[in-house]
Amino acid sequence: SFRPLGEKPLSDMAKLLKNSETALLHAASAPNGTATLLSLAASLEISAHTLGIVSMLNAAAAKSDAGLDMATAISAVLQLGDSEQLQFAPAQTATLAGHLRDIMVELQQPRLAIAPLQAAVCKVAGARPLITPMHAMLFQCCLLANNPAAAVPVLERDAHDVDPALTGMTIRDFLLWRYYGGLINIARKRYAEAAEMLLAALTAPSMVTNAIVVAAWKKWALLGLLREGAVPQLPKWTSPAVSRTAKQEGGAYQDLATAYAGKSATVMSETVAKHRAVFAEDENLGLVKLVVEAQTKRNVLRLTQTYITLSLADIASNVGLPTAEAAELAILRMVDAGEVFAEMDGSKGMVRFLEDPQQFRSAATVARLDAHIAAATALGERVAATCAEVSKSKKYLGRLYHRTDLQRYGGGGVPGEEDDEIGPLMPPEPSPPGFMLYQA
Amino acid sequence: MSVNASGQDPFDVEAVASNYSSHAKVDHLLYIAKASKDKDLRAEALRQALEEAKQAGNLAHVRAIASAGYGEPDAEWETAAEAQAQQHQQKLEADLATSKSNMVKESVRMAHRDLGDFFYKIGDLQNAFKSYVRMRDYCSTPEQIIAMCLAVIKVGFEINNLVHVSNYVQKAEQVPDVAEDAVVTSKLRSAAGLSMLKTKKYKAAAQKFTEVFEEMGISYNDVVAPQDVATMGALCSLATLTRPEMRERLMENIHFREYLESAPQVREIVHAFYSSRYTACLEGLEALRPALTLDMHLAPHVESLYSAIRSRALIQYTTPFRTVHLPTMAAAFGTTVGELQRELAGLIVSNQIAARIDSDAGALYSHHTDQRAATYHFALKAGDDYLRNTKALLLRANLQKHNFMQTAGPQPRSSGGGAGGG
Repeated sequence: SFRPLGEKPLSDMAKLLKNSETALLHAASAPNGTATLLSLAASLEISAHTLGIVSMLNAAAAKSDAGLDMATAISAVLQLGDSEQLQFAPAQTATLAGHLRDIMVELQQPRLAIAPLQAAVCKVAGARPLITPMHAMLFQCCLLANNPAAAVPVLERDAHDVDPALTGMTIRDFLLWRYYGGLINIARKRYAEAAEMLLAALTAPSMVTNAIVVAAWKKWALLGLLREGAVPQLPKWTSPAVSRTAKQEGGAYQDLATAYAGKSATVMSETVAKHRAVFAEDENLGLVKLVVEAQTKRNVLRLTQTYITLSLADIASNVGLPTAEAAELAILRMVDAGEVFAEMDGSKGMVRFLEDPQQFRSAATVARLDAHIAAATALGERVAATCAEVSKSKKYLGRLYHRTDLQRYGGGGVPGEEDDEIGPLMPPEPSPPGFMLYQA
Repeated sequence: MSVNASGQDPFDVEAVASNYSSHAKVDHLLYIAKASKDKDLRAEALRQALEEAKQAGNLAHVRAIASAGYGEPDAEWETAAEAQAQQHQQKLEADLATSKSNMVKESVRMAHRDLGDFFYKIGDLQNAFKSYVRMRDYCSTPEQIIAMCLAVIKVGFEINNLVHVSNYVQKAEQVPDVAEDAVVTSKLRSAAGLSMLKTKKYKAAAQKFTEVFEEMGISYNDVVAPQDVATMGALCSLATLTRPEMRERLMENIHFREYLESAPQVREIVHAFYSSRYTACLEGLEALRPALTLDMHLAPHVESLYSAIRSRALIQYTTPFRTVHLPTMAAAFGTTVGELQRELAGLIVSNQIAARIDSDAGALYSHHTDQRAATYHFALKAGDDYLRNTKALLLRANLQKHNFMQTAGPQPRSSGGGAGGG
């Protein structure tokens, strides 16, 4: 039996629940244990006894083949439970959410998990820019349910802190958060944002390699081809394990990159055909198709750098298309999509390339610049805050003043006034505000 | 004796050979024989080569000519020459040993030099090289050092060791007061130019050749003839120098003028290029081509130099104009409009011409990048990059703060709680 809340601090409740873990698991293993626990949980008021319900459901789900009943119960506690209590036990909440995800995926009803997972994110993160394990689960369900739009509010919510004490996050959750997030953005055709997310997964600190990173690299490479015409270099702080794996596993994709650079559409389609099975298994055929189209577009754009007018036949041969008609079609599509500005003289089969009439003169450009400046300022403040936090940390100061005689300064005062006596380890300028020396 | 080579001005083997002395003569003749497709020309070249080689007593060359399949190997001559050489070699080596034991620096130097000269004469280039190099430690005066360097350089070219050539050129240039001797300086610069040409450093070669003084004249024709200085210098200059450099080094350079006089065809080409008479220039180059493909130093570089000169001509043609009428330009360059468009497209893509082709109207319009658009594009991109990189950095810092690192093995969730939302 549980005492009503409000009388004792949550920490007591948490301790009690922790100590009861074994008992709960035992209860779950008993015959009909799941049903017992479920009905027990149902008998409690959700918002008042959220923590308790979470413990019981976790125990039940851990032991048995959970079904729709379990899912319903979990959904209820995630959507109706008390935020404060959920925030108190983020790891258990995440485990519970994971169970819900597992059940709905198994039952092939991922759609039904979306709302509860959204709720879980909001309740655990609150107003803070936290990343939770439920982020990745939500994105996964949205992808499986073919509803990327449902992920957008959480996707675009500011989140940059993984603090495990507040979120129960693990490195795997992080990788999946970025990977599935990337996939959602690919589905939304936001290729720049997708590439950014996948790169975060690739550059996460790592001693070993794993399947998520390999899959992320393949998609990231294709996005690079799509957007820049080449597979970009991994930044130099990428873990060597990742760079190595990229080389080992990326053969088909490197081939594609080489074919792309060669500008010939024929060679490109031959390369695609050759590695079709690999691309299909990696579920990248859609992106590969986009890359093939991008090659033609890039070739046409290259022509606009050299020619003012050019015949369709010449365009076709320059770009690697089989006929003038194919070239005409490609150009029409590009003009439609605003990717190129051109006029066609059908009678002569001549194309005239034009300048972008709006080149950076529109209100949209001004708005974009303004947004950039605002974002950069905000980000700059975050950087300054992080810098200040690090400068004040004991660990940092300990290293900095490792060799100096701290007693020389006593308390207070700005260091650096006796520079020659400190030696090579000097504090960086300017000194952080409110700086006080203390014994390391 | 001149031999007609396919309807153009007959290629005069003897005239070409007479530009050179010593080994250079035979080497040039041997190359002509190797490169030419004209049977008669080949025979003539080999005949002259054999005559010269026998006269010089160069065993290696005689053997080379025999193996090129010319004439009857003169066994009698060879045996006699070999015996004589053996004898001579033994004597010289004895002299060297004596000098060494007497430890008189000057005698040792001369002994090495004599051995070097001997080996060189009979065509044993490797040993000649070694002997000349060994002179180094025994030279006392600047003149001796220079003589030693020049000898090493000459053999260096013949054994195609260009690294040594450029080392010894440098050594010689560091000898005090060498700059006062116009002939020696010119020889060293010609040698430098030739070695740059061979390593495809055409611009450096152009600079070296156009810094040669007329005093050298034919005195270096055991390595390069004045015609070579002119031809190599001019072609490399046309291929690589800017117009002001060309004016300074080719047109207004009184020293180089002497050399151009010795190669009138080249002189005409240079003048035509400089005065923008492209048809005349290109025709002159084509007329010169057969002779150049038979030249042992220039032959491997003819294609690259010619296409570089052609590109420069195209660029020079288009630079002053806003609009260029392509059919006229094509006629000047002896090509079709279609082919010309291809060449121009290549130059535009490699950013050597700032223009756009209007293939419908058959014209080229000069085109300069819209700086304003470029600036906006750059600014927006810089903003994007900063935001992206900084966000990524902060995220990574956060991961490191919480010790997030992918390791082998499963990582369970930390049983949270305690810190709470308070």
